Amino acid sequence: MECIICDRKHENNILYENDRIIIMLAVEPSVSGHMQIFSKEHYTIMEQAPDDVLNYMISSANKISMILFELLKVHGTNMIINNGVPAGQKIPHFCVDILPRRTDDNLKLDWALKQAAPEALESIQRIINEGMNLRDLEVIEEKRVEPARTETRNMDTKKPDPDDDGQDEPVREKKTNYYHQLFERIP
Amino acid sequence: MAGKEYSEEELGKMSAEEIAELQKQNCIFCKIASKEIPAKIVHEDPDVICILDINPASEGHILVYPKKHYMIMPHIPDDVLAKVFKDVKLMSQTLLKSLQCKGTTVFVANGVAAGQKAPHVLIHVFPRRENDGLVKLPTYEMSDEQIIKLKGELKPYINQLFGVKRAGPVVKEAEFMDAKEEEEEPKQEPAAEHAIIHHEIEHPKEKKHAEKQKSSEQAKPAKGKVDLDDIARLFGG
Repeated sequence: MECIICDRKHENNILYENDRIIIMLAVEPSVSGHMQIFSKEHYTIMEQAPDDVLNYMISSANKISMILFELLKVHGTNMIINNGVPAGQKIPHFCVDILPRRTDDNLKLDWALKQAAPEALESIQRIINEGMNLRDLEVIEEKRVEPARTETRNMDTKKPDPDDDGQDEPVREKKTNYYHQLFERIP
Repeated sequence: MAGKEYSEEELGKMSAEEIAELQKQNCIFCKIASKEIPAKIVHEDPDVICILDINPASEGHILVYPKKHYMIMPHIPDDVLAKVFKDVKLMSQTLLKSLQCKGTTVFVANGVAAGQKAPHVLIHVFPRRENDGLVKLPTYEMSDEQIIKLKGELKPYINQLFGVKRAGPVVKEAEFMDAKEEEEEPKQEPAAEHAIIHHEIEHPKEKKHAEKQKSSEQAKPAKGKVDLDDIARLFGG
């Protein structure tokens, strides 16, 4: 299948690239600074991407979101995965969209808040629970050998910072300090 | 548990930490996670809970969130994030298979400006159908100057984030010349640790996918037997 990402049709938009992800300015942006993270390997939809790839992409999205907040002083960020043609996925290559938001950007992504009837929710719950029980939902990459290497994947390992290891500790108490330090690390 | 009511004046005097603590105490999603408030729970792990949204964008709208209180997604540490997104993927897969929809959207809003409504981070996963009018992203075309300007602004930060040593100084708006120079740099070397752990395992589905493509058009799958490859193949490959 032809893929504009794998064929590198938008080389000029690339901001960063390593052997697992490509971060680029969105080909068709919605707001200024709209970025997209693609997996280096080709997966058409999210379900096909193995957990380690997905996690790395999401964690990168998270860190980019933080940059936007802390350094570019945006008012909010959206992280969106449009999965499948009806969802508005335009490029047949799994991607995570990150949109910097400002209060006056006139972008409206919310949906109308309609309360669902309790019966409707119950029937959906039943359908979903049945679907979950059908374990023919074999998660695609369960067949893959999952190497234990979460540690090496930490993007900050190059710059050891004692406070970075404190992520297991209660974040709430340390939050301010942790983000201040992170802030200081980036010029 | 509900705590007393605070006047705006009192709230104004409180520190950010105190306000965060107050929000946490009154957080409806924390209470759902601790079963103080009932909800339609569709899946639960020790750290993550998946419930049906009572104000669904579409039928089957699921909220996936960590039980621990985090306000926005960047606050979630990576280990918890991995657990959350494992469930996000599972939920999206379940929706595709059991509700016979051909697409899902994963939506996160950080901050009121982005449309966040609850003080607890929520990952929305909802089924999508053709022309349902949800999450419409308008688009515009960027000029080459805009691309250069944005790259100049963002690239140094992102390089720094991923530990690229050669990252130039932070380019201010008036110094676009630097941005141009930086563009001509050779491709950056990926950080060493990423290079080491690269591995290639044959993807079992890919093989299956190729075989299926050979057998040309397939009959519409029976209920409950939606193949994810069919959804991927909607792109007309």
